[in-house]
Amino acid sequence: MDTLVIVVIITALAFDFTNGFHDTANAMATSIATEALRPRVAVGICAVLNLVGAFLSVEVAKTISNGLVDDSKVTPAVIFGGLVGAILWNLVTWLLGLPSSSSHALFGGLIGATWIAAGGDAVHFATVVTKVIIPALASPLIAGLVAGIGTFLVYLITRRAAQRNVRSGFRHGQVISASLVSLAHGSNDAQKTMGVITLVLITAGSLDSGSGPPLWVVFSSGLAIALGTYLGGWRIIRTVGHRLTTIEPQQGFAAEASSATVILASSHLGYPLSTTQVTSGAVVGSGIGKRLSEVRWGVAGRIAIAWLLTLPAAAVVGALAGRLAISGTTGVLIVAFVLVALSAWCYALSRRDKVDRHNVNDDKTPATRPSFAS
Amino acid sequence: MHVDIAWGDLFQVTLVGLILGAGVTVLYAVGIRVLTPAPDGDPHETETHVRPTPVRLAATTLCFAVCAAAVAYGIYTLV
Repeated sequence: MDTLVIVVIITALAFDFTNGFHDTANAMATSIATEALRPRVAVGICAVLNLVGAFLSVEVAKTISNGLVDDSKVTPAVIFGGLVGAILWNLVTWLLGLPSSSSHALFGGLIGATWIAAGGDAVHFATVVTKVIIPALASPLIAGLVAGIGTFLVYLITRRAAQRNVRSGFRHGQVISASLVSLAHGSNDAQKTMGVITLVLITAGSLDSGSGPPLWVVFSSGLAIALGTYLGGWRIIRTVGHRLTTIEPQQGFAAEASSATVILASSHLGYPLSTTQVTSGAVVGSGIGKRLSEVRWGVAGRIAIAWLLTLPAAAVVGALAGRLAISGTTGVLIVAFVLVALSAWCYALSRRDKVDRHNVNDDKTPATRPSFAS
Repeated sequence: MHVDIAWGDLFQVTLVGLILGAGVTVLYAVGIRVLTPAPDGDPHETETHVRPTPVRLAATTLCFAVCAAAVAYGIYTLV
């Protein structure tokens, strides 16, 4: 295996790591917000189940390694460019606290880099539409519908019971439903990195075209996403848990049960969904199921704009990085240097207004934050 | 460019979502409702501390068991 392939695999695992901390919110934001789980316990459970989920299926990985782009025209350098686009978009949206889709960042980056390097023919647009775009549009709506119906029925069934008991019952139930989302997340998202690494190995000639991911790829992808998850994307947890809509345990349960089923069913069919969009759709659905006015549509609108921008923005960065990377070793080194420098800059900016497990539930002005948090 | 919309798959995901996702949520709600009898006063103000009767406890356990079985079945089908 030559050095470039190893660099690309490491970059893919780095993307997987950002995917983990970007998406902890999907599973755990509502449980942390309703205080069903202590923040550190929540991210710990989420990390372990992401690792387990990675071993459940390889359908999504196969969709990515065998369908989106023409593996005879793509080189490891192109994939490197695509990954750089995806990582940078993930870091910027994390800094802004936006739950954008890590998956679309990845697809955008790969498509942009492939297009620039090998021409539009190398991108299988029909497959992209069938396997990525349509599920992307449909899945949040389906999850929202299911969560809305579930929430509506929960309030109908329990309206005469003592409300404090009901809330406490659902708070405990949420531990299970949130765990299922973590498992579902591992089953869909860890597979995306497996798919990319498999694609790299195919383009480098180490694997035959059409192969599934080898076991070491499954394991390392699961581990990278689990580590990222354990780090916890506290900024995004705050947005999803507090700023989008005020969540009660009943709604959290309905939203999580809905997201987990939609994601697991899609993993089974080989659709690389955005778990972020599914869970956000479910949270909005659970808000509508209780009462329409409770969703903060301004925040939901900002999130929707980030969704629309994700694919094209990552594609542009991916295309630029891919163009430089295919020009030779110097190009790869420049791209790698820019990636590391910009990542460090994002991290430095995040320290100025730090959000961590201590202050994730204090969605207030800085003056009201407990002093130990800063 | 020829694009196929996999209506069958979309329908399947929606159906599984409604049956398993919303179904488990509803069953869990029924379990909770059976466990906590309606209070005499305003349900928003009072908290029930009454120990549930064996019948209620059994009914709730059944609801939760069906939920657990549905989840296990869902994961089993996936693997």
